[in-house]
Amino acid sequence: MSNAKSSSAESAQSISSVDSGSSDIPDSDVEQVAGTSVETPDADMLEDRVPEWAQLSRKAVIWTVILGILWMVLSYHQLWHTDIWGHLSYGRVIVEQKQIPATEPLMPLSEGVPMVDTAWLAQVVGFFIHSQWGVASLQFLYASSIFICVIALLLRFREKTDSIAVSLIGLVVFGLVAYKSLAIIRPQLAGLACYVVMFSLVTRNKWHRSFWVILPLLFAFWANVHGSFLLGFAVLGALCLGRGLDIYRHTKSFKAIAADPKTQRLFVITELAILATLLNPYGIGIYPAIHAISHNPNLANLVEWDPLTLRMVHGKAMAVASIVLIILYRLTPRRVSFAEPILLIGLGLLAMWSVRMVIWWTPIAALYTFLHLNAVLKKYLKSQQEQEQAEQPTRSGLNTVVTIGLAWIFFAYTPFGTIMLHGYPKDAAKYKRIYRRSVSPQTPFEITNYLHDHQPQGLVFNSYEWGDYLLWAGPANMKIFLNSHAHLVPRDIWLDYLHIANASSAWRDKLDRYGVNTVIIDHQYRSRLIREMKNDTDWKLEYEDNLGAIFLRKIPILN
Amino acid sequence: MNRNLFWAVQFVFVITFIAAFSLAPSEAKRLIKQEITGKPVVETIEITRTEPIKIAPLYDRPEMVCDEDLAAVLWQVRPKFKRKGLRPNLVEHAIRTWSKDAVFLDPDVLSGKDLEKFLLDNSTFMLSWDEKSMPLLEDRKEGIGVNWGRVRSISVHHDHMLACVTEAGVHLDEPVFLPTQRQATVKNIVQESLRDFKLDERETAWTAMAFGLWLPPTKQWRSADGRLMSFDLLAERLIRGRLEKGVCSGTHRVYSLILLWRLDEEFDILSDPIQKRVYDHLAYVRDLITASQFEDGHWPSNWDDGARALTDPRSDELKDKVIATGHHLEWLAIAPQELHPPREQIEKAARWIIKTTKEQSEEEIFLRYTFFSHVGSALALWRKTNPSDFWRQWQQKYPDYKFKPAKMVPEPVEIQR
Repeated sequence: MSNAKSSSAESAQSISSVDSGSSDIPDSDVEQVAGTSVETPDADMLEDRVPEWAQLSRKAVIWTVILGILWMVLSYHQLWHTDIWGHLSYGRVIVEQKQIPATEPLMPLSEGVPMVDTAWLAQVVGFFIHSQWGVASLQFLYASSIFICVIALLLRFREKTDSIAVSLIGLVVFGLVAYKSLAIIRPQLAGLACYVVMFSLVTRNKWHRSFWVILPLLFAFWANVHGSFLLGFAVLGALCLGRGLDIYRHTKSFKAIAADPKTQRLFVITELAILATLLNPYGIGIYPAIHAISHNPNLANLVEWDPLTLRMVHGKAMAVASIVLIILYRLTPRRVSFAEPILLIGLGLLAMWSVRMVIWWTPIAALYTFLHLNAVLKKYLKSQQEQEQAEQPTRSGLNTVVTIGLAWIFFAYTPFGTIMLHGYPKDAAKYKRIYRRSVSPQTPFEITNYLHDHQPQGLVFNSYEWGDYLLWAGPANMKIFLNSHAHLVPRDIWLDYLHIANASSAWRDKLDRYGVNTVIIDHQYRSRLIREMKNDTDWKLEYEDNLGAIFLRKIPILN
Repeated sequence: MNRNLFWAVQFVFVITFIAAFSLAPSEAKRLIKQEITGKPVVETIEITRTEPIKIAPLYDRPEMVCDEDLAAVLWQVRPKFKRKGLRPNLVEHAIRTWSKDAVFLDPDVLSGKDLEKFLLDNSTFMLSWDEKSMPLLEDRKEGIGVNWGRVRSISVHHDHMLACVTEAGVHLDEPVFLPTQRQATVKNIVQESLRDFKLDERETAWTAMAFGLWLPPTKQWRSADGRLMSFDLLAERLIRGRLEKGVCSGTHRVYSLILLWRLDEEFDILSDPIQKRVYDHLAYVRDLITASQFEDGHWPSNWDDGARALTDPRSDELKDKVIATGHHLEWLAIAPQELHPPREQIEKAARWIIKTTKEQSEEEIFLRYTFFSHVGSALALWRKTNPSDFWRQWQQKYPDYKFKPAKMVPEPVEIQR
């Protein structure tokens, strides 16, 4: 406070000297206006009237720029053409029917298949927000989910260091290893945000009383937006186990483990988290349902459920991150808790089992990379660190104003910000342009438009990847073959789909048996089927663009 | 942490989980058990009847099928089989045609009871087959299964045996003798069928029939994979796809559909929209067969092409014509008149099939027994009777009756369907 007071006094003095026309003012600060000399006051000399608590450092401004750019990049990220539209469709059903369907409601061939909708809340929120603010709001949700993860990680990083560079390395590990999975907007991102926030809270240096409420509430929310909350239990359990092993290593006493407040705390919060997740529409039934979904044999045919290999981008990124971690663990002066290898190896094995699990490994790897990198740097660059620590950050109201201004700019110049401020254009062509820019180029936009003008009759065979979009944006009564919720597709249907989509020798017979008269397929993965159908006398090419094609049966099956 | 608080949390944790499990819906409990044990947990579906439902025939048309013709056709399809290597497929067709009550004066002809024993008693089955043969009945971990596939000693179609013994009137508590000698009844076979049936498997016509004749008034049940099954779904499944696709040129699907429609009349097992859909579908089939009948009265295998079947005819073998004509006559016999083609067309078809059946040699009939058995069944239905009852009376009246085929044809190549 004394510094601030003296600074204010100096400012006041300066101002009074300006008023009195002191000759201290440099010539450059004097402007000639209409023959009169006007003196511009030195901003440094002005009194900072922003309350001290609201004054920010220059680093805050730099972080705002970094995070703002990240926010803008995320906000302009195009919506992936698969899952999201399916989830919105389920959200629409829930809102319209005012209840969560007990059986699959959108795919005629899946009628009667029990559906445990672990993402119902995310679907409803997504549908509601989309119906209010359109497609840009989905980009906003996407950016927000990842942004929450970044902020949660940064808060943990900030506990250890003020270094922007080291923190950025931690974020890079998170972003690069998981970027493929992060590219797709789906309820999983809401689950990831919960996961990172949970991990950030429980690894905080100081436990806050509010966590007893926040964490169970977080888990209750998580259990209604995505089935990944089970991984939250795993992380809490691993932290508890790791802590217990740490205590045992030092005391060789099991009693000491039982008496350790932190172990007790982790144990109890794990239990409370488990209890909180019972607050979902399926109660205890959600646990076996999630297990059953993850073990559905249909998923074995999907790339994202394949085992991780070095041929994949994820695999390479994870391998590099793992090597970096191994080196850091070799060099680190920091004490290593048992929880760290348990989490890194456990989640790492899970990621190797299935690509889709990589995303849960990365935040953990990012935090531990950061922690040990920071410790190593501290050890080897001690003097520089001390110098940095000795320097007190200069806080000022100007930084606050600049930060707020930047934050506003970074918000306002995003698609969602623009829509909030100006609304969608009334002109249909302009709106279409905005919409096209917001969705991925693989979205079957023109094909869907064509279907609106030429409504298909009966069951339509469609590419797996397009089922969601066709459901969402296609003609209201269109009966699709399947969407990306592969676990809800009966096994026989799924195998038949693969036979047809891969243009196996039985594709004609299969299409006959399903009575399909319309086939909507993509060039990217089904070029063989497109070729076969073009040469088949029973089918005619009705429409084709750079993404895919629509075929119609020459003599339709009428039943 | 306060010790008491810690234990209080443990107490609440355990109690909450017990309460959550107790209050969970049955489907959630089933899923929990299934995930813990790693095996499908299937609810036992209550079957309220001990005898299967019988679909009564609607018409008696002696002008179309006279007693002599019916007797001649039934003579042709009497189950006079050699015991060695007797294929279950033949026995299944015979029992559904003749019922479990059939009695023949000729000791070489298998009675209904003989046919039933062959199918439900493994030791009788073993008189026809040896130890190396795959048995028809299988004592599975999950229940009593009927093996089916391409092997000659087993059934040809999924649930065909069950559907046939059901149509034959076998009781639910009829004992089933397994290779393992474990005690079982027909009920176990029905339950196993309910367990292992999947809606999207290739052939569903016989399962639909069996379920239709056993389950009503139950309309919904859960399959082993938890899918909510219903007669609506079964009906939609039978309607799905190109009409000709399916065994016997798709005609079994039509028969099963009319059977479900008739059952719905009595037990209301279909929802109104699906009932209408089934009716419309059958009306569409009616229109197609009205247009696709050939001048001599037979229907072709591509009957679903309608008028195109005549202008662009397919080179059907005789068996294809018999299959289509015999099977269509069979479902029409239990269908309401509104779903019939013009009466003269039915009569023309009956004339053609009677003539054709009467012309076949004994060997030829044996090789194509499965197809011709439907003819016997269909013609009896058109006389508002069943082969067993008619034959009993006919034998009493003419104990020395013998039919001689009108012409002998060269021995044909065996075809298995």
